[in-house]
Amino acid sequence: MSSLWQDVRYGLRMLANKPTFTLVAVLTLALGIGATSAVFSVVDRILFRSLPYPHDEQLVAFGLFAPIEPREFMLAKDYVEWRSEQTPFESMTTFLPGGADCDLTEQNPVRLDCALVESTFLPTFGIQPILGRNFTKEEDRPHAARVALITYGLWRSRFAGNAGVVGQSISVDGQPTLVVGVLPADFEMPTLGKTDLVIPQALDEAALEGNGPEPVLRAFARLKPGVSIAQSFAALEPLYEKSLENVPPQFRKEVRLSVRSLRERQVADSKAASWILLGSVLAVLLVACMNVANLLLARTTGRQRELAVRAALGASPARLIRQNLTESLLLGTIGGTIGCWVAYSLLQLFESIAPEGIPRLQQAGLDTRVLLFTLGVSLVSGILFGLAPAMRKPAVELLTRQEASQTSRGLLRQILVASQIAVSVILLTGAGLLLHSLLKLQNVPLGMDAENVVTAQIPLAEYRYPDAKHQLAFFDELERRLKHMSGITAMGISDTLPPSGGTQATIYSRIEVAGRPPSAEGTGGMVGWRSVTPGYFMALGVRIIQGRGFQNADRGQNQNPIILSETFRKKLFPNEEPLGKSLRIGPEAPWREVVGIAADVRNNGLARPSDPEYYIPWKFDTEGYFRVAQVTLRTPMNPETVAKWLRQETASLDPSVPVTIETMTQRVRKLSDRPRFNAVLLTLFAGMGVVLAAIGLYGVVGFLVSERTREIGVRMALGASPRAILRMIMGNVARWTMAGALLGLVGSWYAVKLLESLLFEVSVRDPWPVLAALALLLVAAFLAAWVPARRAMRVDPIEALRYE
Amino acid sequence: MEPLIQMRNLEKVYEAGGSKFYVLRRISLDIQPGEFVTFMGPSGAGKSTLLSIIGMLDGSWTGEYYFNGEPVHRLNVKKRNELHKANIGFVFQSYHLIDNLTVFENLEIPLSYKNVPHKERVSLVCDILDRFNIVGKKDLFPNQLSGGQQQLVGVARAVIQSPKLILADEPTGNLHSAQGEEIMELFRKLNEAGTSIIQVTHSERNAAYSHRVIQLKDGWVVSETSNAARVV
Repeated sequence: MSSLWQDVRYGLRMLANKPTFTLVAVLTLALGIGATSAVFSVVDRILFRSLPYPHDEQLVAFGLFAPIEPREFMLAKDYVEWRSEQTPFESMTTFLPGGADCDLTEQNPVRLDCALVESTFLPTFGIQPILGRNFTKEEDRPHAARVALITYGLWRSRFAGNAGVVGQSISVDGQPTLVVGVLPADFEMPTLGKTDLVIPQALDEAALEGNGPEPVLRAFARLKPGVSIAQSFAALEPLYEKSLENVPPQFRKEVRLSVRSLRERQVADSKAASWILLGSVLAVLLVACMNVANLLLARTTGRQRELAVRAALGASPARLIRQNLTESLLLGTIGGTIGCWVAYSLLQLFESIAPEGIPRLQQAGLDTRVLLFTLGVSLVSGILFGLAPAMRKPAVELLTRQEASQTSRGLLRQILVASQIAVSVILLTGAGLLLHSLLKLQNVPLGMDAENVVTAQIPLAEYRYPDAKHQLAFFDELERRLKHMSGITAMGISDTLPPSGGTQATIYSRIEVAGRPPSAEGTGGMVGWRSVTPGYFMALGVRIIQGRGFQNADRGQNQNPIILSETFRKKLFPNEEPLGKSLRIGPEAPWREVVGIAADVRNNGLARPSDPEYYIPWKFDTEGYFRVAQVTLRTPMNPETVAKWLRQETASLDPSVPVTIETMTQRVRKLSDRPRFNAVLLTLFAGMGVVLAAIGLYGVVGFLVSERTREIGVRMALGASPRAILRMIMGNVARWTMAGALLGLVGSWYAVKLLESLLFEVSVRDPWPVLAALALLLVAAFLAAWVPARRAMRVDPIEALRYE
Repeated sequence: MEPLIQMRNLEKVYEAGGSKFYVLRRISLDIQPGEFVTFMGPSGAGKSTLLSIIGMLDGSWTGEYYFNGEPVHRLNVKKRNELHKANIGFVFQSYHLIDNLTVFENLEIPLSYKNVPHKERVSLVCDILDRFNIVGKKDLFPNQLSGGQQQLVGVARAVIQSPKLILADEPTGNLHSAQGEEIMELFRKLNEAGTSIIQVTHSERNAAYSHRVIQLKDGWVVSETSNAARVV
């Protein structure tokens, strides 16, 4: 033990005696370890860490996949049937997708997010309220007395953590609601949606017997112990087959059963990016380790005499390796300690630039687990970069020579630098591809003019505006007031807005064209639709390419015009004149006359092509949904001024209505936030890799020049010009830079395939990012080699030979 | 009495570019315990190489080599290291003290490699500092000492583990004559106290301290002479 302390003491002294070496090595490691820890703290929450539910590996999401819904779902009737059968589940539960806005209507009313869940929700997920109890099966029935569980955050902020709130009645949407419990601080919905109140979904199971529309539910379950997902899938298949009998035969091919782990459901969208970022940052760490290994190798060469003396004094090879590894572990630990600060700073950066929707980013931090990871990475790095120098056999023959010097061609060092260059080429190529993709995404034609457009989302509380009549009355009045505001060139109201998804949608095969037989094969996919006021097209700058837009007269009671998007027109009337044609959306709906064709607008995010859609006038309609409206204003005025007016006008109608205002460019920008985040991070890591590789190259060339001083002196004494010396050094650099670049090209060829799912309109074989990466790296390599190479040109042959 | 060192037909060869280059040829010699032997010869004769082989720093040779009766040629690296650690001390021309360690720590190092407990190490180092009269230098670093003082520490470091044999490679080569004489006197005393010494030197004056002078040339032992005029 005392000899170990001796090694530590000597190691610290060695580091203190070489402050420049120590500083460069520690900073390099701090950068690599810090970046790795920061990324790990984020992706750990996505990929590795247990979910906040006991035995989370038993939790699954299950249901059907069908074109009508992007995620798995259960129709209520099927769910009730499945629940009554033998299933592979210990327990199962559902909640209504999307939750609901609900207002806490007491003093200082506030809009909350409510989750409507089944009474089995908490038991299935293994959640225990920290105060009170779960609601009972009886309380989860229609017309039962209203009860609620409140989240920890709401309990602290609204009720000051008062335990007496349990058992109290609060007013939710104007109705007395009994608080039965408080949820734990780490409670989260399985969909990761924001939630303040959890209330019973009160599914009316008796009403499911009829032929009316059924609610769509999100279904989750806990597997019986020992049952795998594959086994549960097999066990559910008979139930699924039975449910399929209720699906019209022509649609059955498009429906499938799904059972997947809860984690998979939560992070499926972020998984690829998470692995790529983790891989990239580990590559940066590898470059950092190779750099420090290189520095240590250079230093070990300088310490050959010392190591030989130690060997001559009786140090065993293992003891010498231990001495060297102690020093590198010390470097790793100091680097890791400073790396914690780097990680903290990077985490702050991530949080400030991160888009919405990265699972659990807000929870990421340097907790014990991440710090242990950092310690582990520091120690592993220490061994990784310390091993090559430590394994060098001491040259004891040096001791019997008068001058203790040894020359080495430093092959291992050159291989290390070539490898650093190779890794940097891969990182740069990846970053280049993501940046190119981002550029394309940001310049994708939207089909509308997003400049000078202010949008406002206005949701009405159901308890104050219980039906379409009241809701429409509010928005009609708002429209009347806003339309005449000075500075507004166009104004529209709609239920949804492009370019994000979320339109209302119907099955293509439900659409019936007058004079044609109904569609017989399959659903035909989904067709989106929006209710819009006549000013909508002008406010958004959507061109009407044929026919006309809506007019005020179209909002009359017996008017049923329809406008088709260009894509939908091509699908519905590929070889016919569409104007004047009649169609209806389902057998009960009124016939509608096609009055216009609108240009396609990106309506499912920026990266996907426009889906077919149609527009109907914003007016009372059986299919209409008017509780949330999107107001669109085209105006050359300052958006902040417009926002202020908008808020004032809305508040003058009803001060309790919240208004969320954004410009259209902000909304569009949000859609590229995540690709931007990925591109920025990968570029940051690639930049780190290049800088570290350049430092490594600088160090190696400097080392080679000092090792070859005598040779250079002899060459110059024999008549070599400084230019010839420069050519010799740079030629050497060029050889292994090119070798590294070639290796990097081969690596990129395979590595960039992993990026495929993150790219938009850019092929992984796009040559430009590769060429740019190579050019950037060769310039960096040239600059890094130039300074020490110039030093070689200035070697004084007399001094060099005397020195030796 | 069993010789301390016994070599039979020992050879060392370098192979370069397909041809063999003999550094040592058919070396056969005996060195008795308590003997002081000098290797002399021109540069490239193989003196230092022979010293490295005797010191077990070099293991790539053929022939037989017995140290204190142990067949070194049959020992693996680990055993050879142990034998070397237990019995041999080195003194180098360039002193080869470790720059970053103090005099005290330089003396302590071979003991720590022999896993001598800390307390015993301190006691042994204090003894040797006292014996060599360098107590006042114990906290200095090598670059704060003169060449003679550095070599004194070098000899003290070789002696601290009470070796049976001290191998000295041109021990006074970097010292001026008075310092050199001081070191050679030290060797003489150590030898009189029973430590065997083998030195490599070009100096006739230093050779005069030994019992026997072995001349090498081109890897061969060319002559052996007892030293009638030994300095006593």
